[in-house]
Amino acid sequence: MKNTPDIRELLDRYWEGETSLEEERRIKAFFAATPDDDLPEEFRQEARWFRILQSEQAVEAPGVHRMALSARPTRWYGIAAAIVALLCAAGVWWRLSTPGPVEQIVQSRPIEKIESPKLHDLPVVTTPDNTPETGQSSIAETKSTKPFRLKKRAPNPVEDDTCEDPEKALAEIKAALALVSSKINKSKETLDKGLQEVDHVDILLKRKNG
Amino acid sequence: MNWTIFQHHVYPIRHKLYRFALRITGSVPEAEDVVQEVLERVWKSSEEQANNVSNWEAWCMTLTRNRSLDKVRATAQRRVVSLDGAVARESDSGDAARTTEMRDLADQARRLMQELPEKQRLVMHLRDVEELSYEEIAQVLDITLDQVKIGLHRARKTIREKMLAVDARIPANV
Repeated sequence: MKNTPDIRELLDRYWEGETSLEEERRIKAFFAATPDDDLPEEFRQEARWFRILQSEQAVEAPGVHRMALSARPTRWYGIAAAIVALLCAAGVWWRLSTPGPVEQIVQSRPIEKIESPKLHDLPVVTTPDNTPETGQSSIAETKSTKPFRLKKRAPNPVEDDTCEDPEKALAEIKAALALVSSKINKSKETLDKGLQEVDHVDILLKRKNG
Repeated sequence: MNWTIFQHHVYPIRHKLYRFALRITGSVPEAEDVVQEVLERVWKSSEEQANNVSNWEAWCMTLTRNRSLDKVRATAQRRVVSLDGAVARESDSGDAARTTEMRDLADQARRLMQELPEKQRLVMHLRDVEELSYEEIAQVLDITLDQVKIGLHRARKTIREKMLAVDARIPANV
């Protein structure tokens, strides 16, 4: 227990309005930790006042925090939707502005290092309409820029751009937003439950500490 | 408003705001309304406004004071403070004696502090219950630092005299 002359001096200064916040907290802590029966007679009256203050500090707002939480999700929906929309837009832009696989191979090969193909190595060029073209005219066309056998690429649903059709792209963006929204709702419920638990523990601790 | 700021600086002081609103309005429903309105107001504040706030507690207290005074002016009458909400939660523990003690202490606090002039009452509440610094109290109540110190000194002096007077009467009544 703190020695009583020290408390007496602090109390005298408290009533004169000369104590600091820290000193006032020490006084409150002293009275909170000392039962009435253990207090010197001279402190009994003042102890009542500090217990009154303690009871005032225990008053809590009933239920206002639920409002605060309920106001939160709309803002998060907006942020999440904006992020998803930006990601989709960036994805579309990237796909449109990036060369396809063939162009990438061509661009990555230094032209000066490519040897002219021999006659028997003449490439078989397959055009997009699947009509094979062979002969000198093809050699002349492919000699400098396309020294590889080109075959029409089979459709690849993974690599193909799904956003060429605006309506299809819009539908996919909506589906993605719906998915994100459902995930956020689930997270929000979890967070609410967590906060309720924290509030409950807080109440229990206060009761325990009396 | 940034959710992190709200969670760390505003949400934890909701009970302080409620007690302060209760002290001014003297009405539990009105104090609840004030806190809800203040929290909504803070939550909806713009990023620019939020960036200009250096002391969230003082700012929220100021909003609470202004909103509470609006309520008081609107109703044009001061009602007796009821602490039933707080005491009801204490009674959940099943400790009837403790509940009664809490109610008695709350009643004493109400009587002693409600009899003070308004400015002294609010200064004392902000200092002794909410533990704000002199500077914060001056900001919240829009008064000078000297007025805060003088108000607190007078309030404590009055409270002490009243307590002495009560104690002096008790033996005579017994």
